[in-house]
Amino acid sequence: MIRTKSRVYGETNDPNTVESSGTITVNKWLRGGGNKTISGFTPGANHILITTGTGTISSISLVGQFNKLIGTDEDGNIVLIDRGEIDD
Amino acid sequence: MIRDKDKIYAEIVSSNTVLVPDDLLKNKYVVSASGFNVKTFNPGPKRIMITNANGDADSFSYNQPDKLIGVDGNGRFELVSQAPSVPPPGRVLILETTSYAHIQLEPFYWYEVEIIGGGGGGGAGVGRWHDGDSAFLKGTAGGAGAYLKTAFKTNVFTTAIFRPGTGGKKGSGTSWIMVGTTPTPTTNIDRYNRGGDGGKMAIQPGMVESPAQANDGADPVYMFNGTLTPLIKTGGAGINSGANGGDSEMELGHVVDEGSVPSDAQGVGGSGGGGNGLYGGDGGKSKYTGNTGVARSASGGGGGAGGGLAYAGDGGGTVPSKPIGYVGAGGGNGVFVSPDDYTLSSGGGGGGASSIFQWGLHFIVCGGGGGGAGAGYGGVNESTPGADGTCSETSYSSANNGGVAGIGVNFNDMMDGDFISPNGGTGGNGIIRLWRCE
Repeated sequence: MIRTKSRVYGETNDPNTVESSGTITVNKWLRGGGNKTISGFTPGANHILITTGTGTISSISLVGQFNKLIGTDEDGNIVLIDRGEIDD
Repeated sequence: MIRDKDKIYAEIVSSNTVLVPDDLLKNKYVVSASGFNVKTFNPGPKRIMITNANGDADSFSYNQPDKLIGVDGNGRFELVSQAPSVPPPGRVLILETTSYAHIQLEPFYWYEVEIIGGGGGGGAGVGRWHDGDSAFLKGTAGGAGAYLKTAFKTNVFTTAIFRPGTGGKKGSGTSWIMVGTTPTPTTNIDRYNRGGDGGKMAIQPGMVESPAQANDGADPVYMFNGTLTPLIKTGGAGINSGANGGDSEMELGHVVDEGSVPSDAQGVGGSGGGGNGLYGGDGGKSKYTGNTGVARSASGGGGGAGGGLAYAGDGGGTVPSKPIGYVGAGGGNGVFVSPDDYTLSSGGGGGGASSIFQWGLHFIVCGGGGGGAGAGYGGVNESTPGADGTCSETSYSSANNGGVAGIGVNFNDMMDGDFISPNGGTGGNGIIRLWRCE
């Protein structure tokens, strides 16, 4: 806004302003929504943030997992592994 | 901005407005840029979001097969090799024990363990000398301990706890010495054999042994020169004639200290049946409550054989899937001719179970104690011994360490001064061996 002795000139919003279609929840992760938009990313409790094989945002849940290690399977996907296994 | 018929009212754009100079990519992370700007963070496929040494948003690639995510000597994330998917063929023996032991296992190795449950005690033989008639029977051998050989791997430093079982004790029969032409009993002169104690699973030193351990076999009841009383289907404590093995319970959350296993009992074998009893006691069973809260059978002792008119008790434990393991062989049945003749030999004790399971971070390797031999009673007729007690309800009992059967007392072959003890043999102690696969 610019004010002179005779007029007030209004400004346009910056075209790069970030917009969200909904209210953003406090203390949650954000992700891009395309163009100039964002959206919340709330995977739930006890998750690890990762990207998938296509680079998409994702997460791994640790809920209900006990005595595990974080590792990868034969295809390089992230998995939770027992600390030891009995072969039967 | 508000427009009416006369004026346009301008609004102020906040100087704190967040801007994004470049479009944000859909379904990608967003991070801060300079000033009031944000930007897309698109590290690529198969990455974990982290902060780097500067505290900045960063990522770590996990795109390698069969790795663990660890930390290197500088505190940075790194991918670490797991134990191989199958055990390597080489074997290095690192432990062989018949008593409690525990050792630390190194990560990224496979281990192979061999578990042999305690053998059941051998039943005693009998001889009968009555009004010039003689008869004898041998006892039956103790059942073999269950045999289990399996492999497991660990990806962390952990502890393996070994708790082999002891063998069931022998049945004791009446010993005789020939004096001239007259057989003379020297022990157990009432002629009712004594059943053996059940074996026990080893416990950690310092722990209190359970009061639920197997009882002794029933003691003699009738006197040598007394009136022969008809067989009574009673004997030691328990639901059958012999006492059942004690139950064992292990539960996460009741940890006393590292390496100990809380337990109400310790996988003891069933005791021998009474001399006048019908059945041996069942083997002890143990219950393991894992992370899921679901009780699982673990290992228990072998069943004690019945004495006299006897049927062996069942082997200890069940056949669980995980933890895996096997029950011990049932003890041999006692042998008898007919209820009217009272020629009865002792049944062998059942073998102890074997099992392995994971308890929290630990591997627990167990062998149940062997069942005690049953007692028997000398009668007047001769017969052929029955089952030798080495059978198992599984095909895994290659560990034939049940106690040997006591011999029968054949008075016709005895010369002056000959001495015969028809006691059975004590079951062999359980053994646990551990190899590292390299």
